[in-house]
Amino acid sequence: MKTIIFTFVFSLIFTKIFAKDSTQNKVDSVKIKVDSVKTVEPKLTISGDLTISTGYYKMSGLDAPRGQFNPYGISGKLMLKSKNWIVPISMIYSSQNNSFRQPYNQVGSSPLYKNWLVLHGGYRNVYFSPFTLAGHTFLGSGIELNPKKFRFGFIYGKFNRAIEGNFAEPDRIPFFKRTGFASRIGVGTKINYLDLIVLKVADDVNSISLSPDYKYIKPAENLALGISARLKIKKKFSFELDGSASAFTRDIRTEAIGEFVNIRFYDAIKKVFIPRVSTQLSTALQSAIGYKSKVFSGKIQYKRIEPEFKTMGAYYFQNDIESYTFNPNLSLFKSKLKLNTSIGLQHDNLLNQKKVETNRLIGSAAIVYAPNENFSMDFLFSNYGITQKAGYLPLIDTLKIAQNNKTLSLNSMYMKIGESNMQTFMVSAIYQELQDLNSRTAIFNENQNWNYNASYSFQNLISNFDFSLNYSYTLTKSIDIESVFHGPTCSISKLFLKNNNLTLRSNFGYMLSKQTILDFQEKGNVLNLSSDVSYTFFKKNTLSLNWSLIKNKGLQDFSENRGTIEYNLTF
Amino acid sequence: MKKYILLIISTLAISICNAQQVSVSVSVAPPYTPYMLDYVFSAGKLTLQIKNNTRQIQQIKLVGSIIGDNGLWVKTKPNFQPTKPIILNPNEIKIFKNWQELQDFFDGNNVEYSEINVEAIARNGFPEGTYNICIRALDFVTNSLLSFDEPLGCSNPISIRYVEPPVIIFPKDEEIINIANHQVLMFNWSNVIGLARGVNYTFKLVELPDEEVNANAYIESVTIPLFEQKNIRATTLIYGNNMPILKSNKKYAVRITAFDSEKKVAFLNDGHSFVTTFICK
Repeated sequence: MKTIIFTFVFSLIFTKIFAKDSTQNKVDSVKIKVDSVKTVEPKLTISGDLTISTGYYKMSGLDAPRGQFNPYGISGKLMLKSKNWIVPISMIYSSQNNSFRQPYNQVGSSPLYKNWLVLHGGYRNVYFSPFTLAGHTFLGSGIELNPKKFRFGFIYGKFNRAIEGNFAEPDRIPFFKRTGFASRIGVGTKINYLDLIVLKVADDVNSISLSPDYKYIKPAENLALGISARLKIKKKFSFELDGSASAFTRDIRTEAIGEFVNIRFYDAIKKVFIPRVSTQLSTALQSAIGYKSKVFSGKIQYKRIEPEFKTMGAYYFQNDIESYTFNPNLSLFKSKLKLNTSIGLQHDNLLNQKKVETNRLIGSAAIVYAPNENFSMDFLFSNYGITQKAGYLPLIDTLKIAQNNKTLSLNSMYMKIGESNMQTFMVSAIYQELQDLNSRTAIFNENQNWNYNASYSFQNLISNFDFSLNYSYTLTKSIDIESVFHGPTCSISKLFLKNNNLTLRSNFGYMLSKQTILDFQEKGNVLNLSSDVSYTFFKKNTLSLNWSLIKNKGLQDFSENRGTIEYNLTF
Repeated sequence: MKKYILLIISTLAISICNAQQVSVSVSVAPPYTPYMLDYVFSAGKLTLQIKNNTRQIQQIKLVGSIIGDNGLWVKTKPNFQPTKPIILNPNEIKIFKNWQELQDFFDGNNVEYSEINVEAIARNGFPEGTYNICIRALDFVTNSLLSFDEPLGCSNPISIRYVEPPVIIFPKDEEIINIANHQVLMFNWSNVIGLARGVNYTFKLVELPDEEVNANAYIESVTIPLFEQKNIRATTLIYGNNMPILKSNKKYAVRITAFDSEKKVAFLNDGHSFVTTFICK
């Protein structure tokens, strides 16, 4: 398989490189024709790019997984365009570990016809709504139709492939083959619509030979029904609604509830989905109202996701949460002064299953002041506060979590633009603190972090020479650990040759470190070097070499060496 | 009076004597999840050992209870009668790991509950608390107790907690971050809720090959990330100039995973946070 891919890729590259002259002639002839008959458009245009990269990785001083490794990867995109069709094809391949339930190596395409028909084939991430099919990768096919006011979508495919367990590789987690479909039907356009969605995905028990004693992976099944609506009025007002009810069976080998409990309409229900002892039914809902004008924009959002709500069409998201969020933003003095704020209230324990209820108050405010194009300044404050109150049981004060996670940051930039060069001065300061309001746990949890940064950069637009110098100081403090890293970083880049087709870029960083753990103190340093060279030839071919080294001396001595070589073809 | 005392003592002696005839021990393997109902049907999670301490054949039946420190209980009904007895030969030890072999003494039809919402438990699992699973052996015919009463014949305490994975506070998902002139990046996440101590975090950062790649699938597959740090105790990681350089116009994905150093707690989503992506400009 690898040989075939390589043969294909290299033949494509060499054909492209050596066919340059003839292609150029063709392009010229097309150009002449275009000049003489300007209205004629090519029937089919082909564009795309292809990248092949390989590299080495060497780590010494720390244990696995940072071993020696030489992964190679190929990624490419091909775009075919005609009057009515747009066919984008994407491909990615790597020799990196291939034993995961969703392979790294993927090829897929979603051709679009006249803006109302989309076909899907291969590895795709299709999005129907956040609580049903929400971009989970699948290998399969599908169709989406939106002629006039009718909306329809259907996909079918493999959501995870079967992975057999293997004693020789204990990290290889077995997994059942997971297949299913999702469908939506609705009315409206791409901007304003109302959709009803169904998703049914299940594991195939017989897809792998798993010992009945194996307790970590169980064959599961999911049926989710959802609704999704969007509405925009006069480009100023917007409304969003997404809701879903999801029945999730953790183990399809468990007994059906209908065998010992009377369920209404069971005969009809079991044809679609059999509720079992390990089936969980939960709901999720989110809704938002927004307003947008030149001066003010704002959004009010409500979200309620029941504990352990999940669907097989989405990756993990936070659940057992009810939240209210308000984001008012102001833009004043012709956008010279911007104020972006957000405040949110969250709590968990929606079904009173937890011993304690956790409340979160999340707020942030950012002021951005940019009176002219040479100067800008921004200030940010944010707080992520957590408090708890009694849930299922009375709350013991000593175990109560009450924390504030605060961040303050200030950035300032001044730019001096000359006729041929540009100079930039930047300073920034960040302070971050985890404050524990419970005096009994504060000593273990509290920590503070400071970072100060100052930098200068020079850019010559004629000689295409860039230079920057930066000094950074970082201090981290917690109960028994204190660490300081500080030092300069310098980077240089320059374009060479007649057409600027040779680029050299280099970074040099040297940090001094001092780490104190209890009474033990260790001084050290970190050397961070990297270099890039890239050369563009025949206009569309670029060859890049990259090398980087991190050498750390101190509490943990290690060195990490990486190198990559990359070839890119654009056509 | 003496007669009464003698009668009480002899009755007591007989019952103790009976209670020693069969010994029962129950153990449940951690980690514990809220889905205790699944335990009953999940092979290998729960081990039951029954021993006949006598030289006679014993014909027994088993009854059980699940009792929580939060007032919740589920017990086998007193009138439960399986179709056939479990036969224990003299001094025989039987070990059950597969509950399919056992009688349905925790079956929905054969149990009674405390004042709880059975439907809610079936739907969403048991509430947080510390539970014990206790099993007793009764004579198949006479219903007399052959094993010790609680707390003997009970499992180790099963602590059920809903431990959420960390939530990444900074950067926000899909945020565009300015890294001009080697700006330092501060990654920040919330403490794990539901576990007081012993949490370690792993920070994993990967560079996505292009912006359309699914970050969740990709971060799972990559074996050599751009940067990974394990055993972090704090909830902040300052990504400075001593770490691999981030490139402008590249998209990155970050995931924080929580571990319980005592390996007793099952985190939701295996301790993985929501995967957050950001673009460097």
